[in-house]
Amino acid sequence: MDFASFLIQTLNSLQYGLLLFLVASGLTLVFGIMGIINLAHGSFYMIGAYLAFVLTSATGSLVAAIALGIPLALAFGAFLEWALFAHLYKRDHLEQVLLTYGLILIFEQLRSLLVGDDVHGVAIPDFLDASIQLTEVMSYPVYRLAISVVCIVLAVALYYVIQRTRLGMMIRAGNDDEHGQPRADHLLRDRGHRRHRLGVGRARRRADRRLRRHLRQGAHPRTVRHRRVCGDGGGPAVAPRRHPQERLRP
Amino acid sequence: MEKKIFAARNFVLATALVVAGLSSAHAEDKVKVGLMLPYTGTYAALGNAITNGFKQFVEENGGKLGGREVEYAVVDDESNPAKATENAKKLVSREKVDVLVGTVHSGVALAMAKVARDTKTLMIIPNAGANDLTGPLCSPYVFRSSFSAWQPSYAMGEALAKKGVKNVATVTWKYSFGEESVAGFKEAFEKGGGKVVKDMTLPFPNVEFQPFLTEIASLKPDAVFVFFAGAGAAKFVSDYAAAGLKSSIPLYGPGFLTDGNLGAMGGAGEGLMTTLHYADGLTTEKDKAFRTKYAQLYKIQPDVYAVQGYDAAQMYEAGLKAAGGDPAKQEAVIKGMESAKIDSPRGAFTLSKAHNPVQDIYMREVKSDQNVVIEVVSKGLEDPARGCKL
Repeated sequence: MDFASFLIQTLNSLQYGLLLFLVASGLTLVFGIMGIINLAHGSFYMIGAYLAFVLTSATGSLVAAIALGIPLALAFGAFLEWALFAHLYKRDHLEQVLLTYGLILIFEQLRSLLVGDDVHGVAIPDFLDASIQLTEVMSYPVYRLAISVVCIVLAVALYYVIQRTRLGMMIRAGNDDEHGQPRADHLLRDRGHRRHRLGVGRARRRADRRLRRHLRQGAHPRTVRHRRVCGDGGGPAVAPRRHPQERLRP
Repeated sequence: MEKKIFAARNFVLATALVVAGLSSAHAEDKVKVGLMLPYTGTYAALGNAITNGFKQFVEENGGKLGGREVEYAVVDDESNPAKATENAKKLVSREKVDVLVGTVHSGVALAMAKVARDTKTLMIIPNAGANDLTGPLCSPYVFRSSFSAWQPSYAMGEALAKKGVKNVATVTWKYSFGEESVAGFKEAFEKGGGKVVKDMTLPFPNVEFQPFLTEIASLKPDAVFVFFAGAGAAKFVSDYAAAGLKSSIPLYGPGFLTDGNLGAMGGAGEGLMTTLHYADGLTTEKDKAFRTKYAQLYKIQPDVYAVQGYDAAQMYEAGLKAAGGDPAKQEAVIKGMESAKIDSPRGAFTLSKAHNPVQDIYMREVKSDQNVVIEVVSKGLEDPARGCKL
C-alpha cells in the first residue's frame, strides 16, 4: 500500500471511530448516569434515522428535518422516561433488559407498520454534496468530513457541559455506581466542591441524603471522613460495607 | 320490519349451513399448500411478494390447483434458521400440507429441505439461492423456482471476459451466498481469460465500505464485481459514487445489487449494469399480462420475487395436472414437474435434473429507477449442480 492510501485509510478509521463515538456516547450516558441498561439503543438510533427520512421527505431539506427532529426526539424520550424508564431506576438490570428488549420488538413492528419494509435513503443536502479529489481516482466525500466535524463539536460540547457547568455537576452528582448506589467519593467530592456551594440545591440535598444513608448503612464514619481528606477515595479499603441485599433498596 | 329481519336471519343461517355442508364435502378434495415465508423482519417485503405471486396464479387458475380448491397453512419463518426445522415439521406433520413453499433465507431453506427429504414431502423453493440446495443436497422432493447463486454471477463473468475486461477486484459480505456469487463469477471470468486481482470480504451485514473503496482506488482494477443486496447494496452504490470511483472504475454485480432499492440510492445507481433472470421492460405478452394483473390486484408493481412465487404455483399446477389432480400420487407429480415447460413472465424455462430452472440470464441497465433489459447474455443457463446424484 502506498503512502497516500495509508493516509486515506487513517482518515477513514478516524472518521468511523468518531461516528461510533457519537452513537456510543448516548448509550454510555444513559447507562452511566441513569443506571439503565438500554438494549433498545439501536432502536432509538433507528427512530432517529427514520425521523430524518420522514421529515426530509415532508420538508424537502435535511437541515429542516434535523431542526424539527431534535425537539421531536426529545419529546419522545421524555415520554418514554415518564411512562416506562422512571419505574425502572430502582429495579435491577435484568428487568431493565426485559423492558428494553421488549421495546426493540415493539419499535421494529411499529416501523414496519408505519413506514413499510422498503429500503429508504436520505439525500445528502446540496451544500455537502461534493467531493475532494485525493488521488487520481479516489476522492473523499465532503459529507463524511462534515459528519466528523459534527462529532468533534459534540464531543467537546459534551465534555464542557459535564465537566464545567452547573448542569454537568448535577449530572455527576446523580451518577450512581453499578449497584444503583451513589459513589460516596463522588458525593463527598461534590459536597466539598467550591462551586457546589453556589447552590445546586436539589443535587446537594440528594447528595446529603445519600451520604447520611451511607453512614446509617454501616460505612464507618472514619472511613468517610478519611475519604473527605483524601478527596477522591480511590483505594479499595474505602468501599462502605454493605450487605448484598441492600443493593436492591432504593 | 321485524319479519324482514327474521327472514334475513333465516337466509343467513341457511346460507351458512349450505356453505358448511359444501366445505365439509370438499375438505378431502382440497390441496393444502404450506407457505413458510418471512412476513416480519428484513425480508418481509420479499415474503409478501412471493405470497402475492403464488396467490395470483391460483386466482388466475380459477382459485384452484390441479382442479382442486386450495387451502393455505401459513407460517412466518422470521428468516430464523434456529426455528426453521420446528416450523417446517409443524406444517408437515400437524397441518399435513401437500407441498411446502419456502423460503427466502438460504439457511432456513436448507433446514426446510432436510425436513422435506426426511418426510418425503414435496417442496418448492421460491427464492433461496444457496447452490447446495440443488447441488450436493439435492433431492427428488425439492424443487426451485428461482435461481442458484451461481447462475447470475457466472453469466456476468462470461459477459465481462467477452467484453475484454482483464483485471477485476471483488467485494462481498462474508457469508455463503456472497462467496458462492463471487466463486461463480470467478469461474467464468478466469475461464474467459480474465484475472481476479483481489477478493475482499466484510462481515454480514456491515456497511462501512470506505476502507474497501480506498483499497480499490489504490489497486485500480478495470472493473469491480460485488454482491450486496437491499439496504447494504444501496449504501455501497452510493458510497462508490461519492468516492468518485463510478466514473473511473465500472461496477458490476448480480441483479440483487439494484433490485428494490433504487429509490434509496438517489441517482447513484444510474447506468449500473447487472445480471439476473428477470428484468424490467421485457416485451413478452406473458410478462405484460402478469404485471398488469399484479398491479391491479395488489396496487404495487411486481418484482422478481413475485415472479418466483407465481412460478412456484405454476410448477405445482403442472405436476398436479400430470397426476390427474391428485396430490397423493407423488411420483406422478414429481415426474410432471420435472418435464414441465413453465411459461414464466421471465421467459419460458425448464427444470434441470437437479430441479433448478434452466433459464435465460439478462444483462440489465439502471435507467431512471428501472432495471431495463439490454440483452440476453446467457441463453438457457443451467446450474452445474456439482455433487448432485439425481
